[in-house]
Amino acid sequence: MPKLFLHLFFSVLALSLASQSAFKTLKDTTAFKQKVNNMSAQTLSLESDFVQVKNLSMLSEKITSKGHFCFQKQNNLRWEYTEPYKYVIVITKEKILIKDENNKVKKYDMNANKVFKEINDIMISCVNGDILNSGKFSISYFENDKAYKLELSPLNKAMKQSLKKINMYFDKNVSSVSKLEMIENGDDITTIDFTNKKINAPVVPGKFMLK
Amino acid sequence: MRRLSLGNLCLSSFLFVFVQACSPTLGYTYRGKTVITERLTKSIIPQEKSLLFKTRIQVYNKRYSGLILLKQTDKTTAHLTFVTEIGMKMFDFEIKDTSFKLVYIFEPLNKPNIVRLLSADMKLILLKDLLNQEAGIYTKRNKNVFKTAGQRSTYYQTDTTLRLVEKTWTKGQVFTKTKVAYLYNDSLEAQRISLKHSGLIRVKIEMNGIAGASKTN
Repeated sequence: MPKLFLHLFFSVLALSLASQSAFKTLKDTTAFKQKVNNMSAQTLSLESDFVQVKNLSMLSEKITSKGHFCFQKQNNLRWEYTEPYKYVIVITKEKILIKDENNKVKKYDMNANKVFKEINDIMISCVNGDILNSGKFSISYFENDKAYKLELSPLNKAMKQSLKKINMYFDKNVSSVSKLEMIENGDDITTIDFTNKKINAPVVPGKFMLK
Repeated sequence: MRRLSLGNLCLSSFLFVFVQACSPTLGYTYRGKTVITERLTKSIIPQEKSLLFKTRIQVYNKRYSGLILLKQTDKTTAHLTFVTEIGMKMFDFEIKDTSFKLVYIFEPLNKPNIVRLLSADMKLILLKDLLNQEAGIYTKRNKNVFKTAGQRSTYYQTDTTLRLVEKTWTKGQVFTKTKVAYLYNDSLEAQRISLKHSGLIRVKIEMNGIAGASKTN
C-alpha cells in the first residue's frame, strides 16, 4: 500500500512538472519576432561556454564535448572545442579556418564549398536571429513559462536529406539563443547548451584569426 | 639480343628477390590453414565498452575530421559511426557476424567510389575479413602472420601472447597496397590505428583514442 501511494505521488509530481515545462503554441508571433529583431540589432558580440551532446539514437550513446563560442558582427564566428579534444573552427565572411590537434591550420574558401557555406549561414543566422527571415525553413513558434521554442523544418530538398529539424530556445527576455537542437533524419540529436554568456563584451583582437 | 635477354633475366631475378624480400612472411614457418577465431586474435571492437577516436580521413584530395565511435550494440551487432566535431553524422556501418553494411552516409559523400573505398578500408581496420575466416598461419617466435586468400592476399601480424593484431598488409599486383598499424593502451584496447592506402587512389585514416572517453556498455 505505501508503495502504491508513493508511486501515485511521484506520478502526479511528474505530471505536474511536465505540464509546467510543456510548450504551447505561441499566439503573438509578431511581438516575439520584434524581440528577436531587437536582439539581433543590439547584439554586436556574444561569447559563451557551450556543452554539446551528440545523441546517437540507434547506438544509445552520447558524445559530450565542451568549449567556448564567440560571435562578432557581422559574420565572425569561432567555435573552440576544448574537451575531450581540441578543435577550433573560425568562420568569417569568406573563409573557414580549422585548427586540429596537430596545430595545423586548414583554410577553405567559403564560396567554393556549398556545404560549408550552408553550415556557416545556418550557424550565423541562428546566433543573430536572421534565420527567422532566411526563407530556408518553415517555422513553428512555442512557449512555456520559462522559454520560447522555435521549430525550424528545412524547405530545401538537399538540406532535408540530412536534417529533419532545428529547435532553437530563447529565454523569456530574448537576449540570445540559450539552446540549439539539431535533429537528423535518423533521429540523432545534437544539443548545444550555451552558458556564461557575455553580450557585447569586448572581443580579444585576433580571435578570428588562426595561426 | 643475347645481352638484352641477360639484362631482362637479371632484372627479373632482382625483382623476384626484391618482391620475396618484401614478403610479410619472410623468415616465418608455414603451419597450415585454420579458421581464425578469437582464440587466436582479439576483435578490435570490445564487447563491453564503446571506444571513441579522434579521426582524420583523407580520400582523394578531400579531408574530413571528426570522431569515430565503435560500439557493440548487441551480441551479434556492432557499429562504426563517424561524426564531425560539430555533431554531423557522416557515415555509419553496421557490423554483424556475416555482414558489413553501410546504413547511413552523408549525401555529399554518397558516391560509389568513396563508399567502396571506405567500406573496404573500414572492413580491413576491423579485421572483418580475418575473424571466422580460413587463413594460412605462419609463425616466428612470439609472432603469427595470418594470410587470407581473397581477391588480394592480406597478411595480419599478431602477437601470440596478447592475441592482438599489430599490422596488416594488403598486397597489390606487385607492391603493398594498404597498410594498417595498431597501437594498444594498457587495457589492451586499440589506442591508435593508422591506415595508408597507396597507389592511384590514396586514402589515409588516422584514429587516435580519446582518453577517458571509452564507456562501459
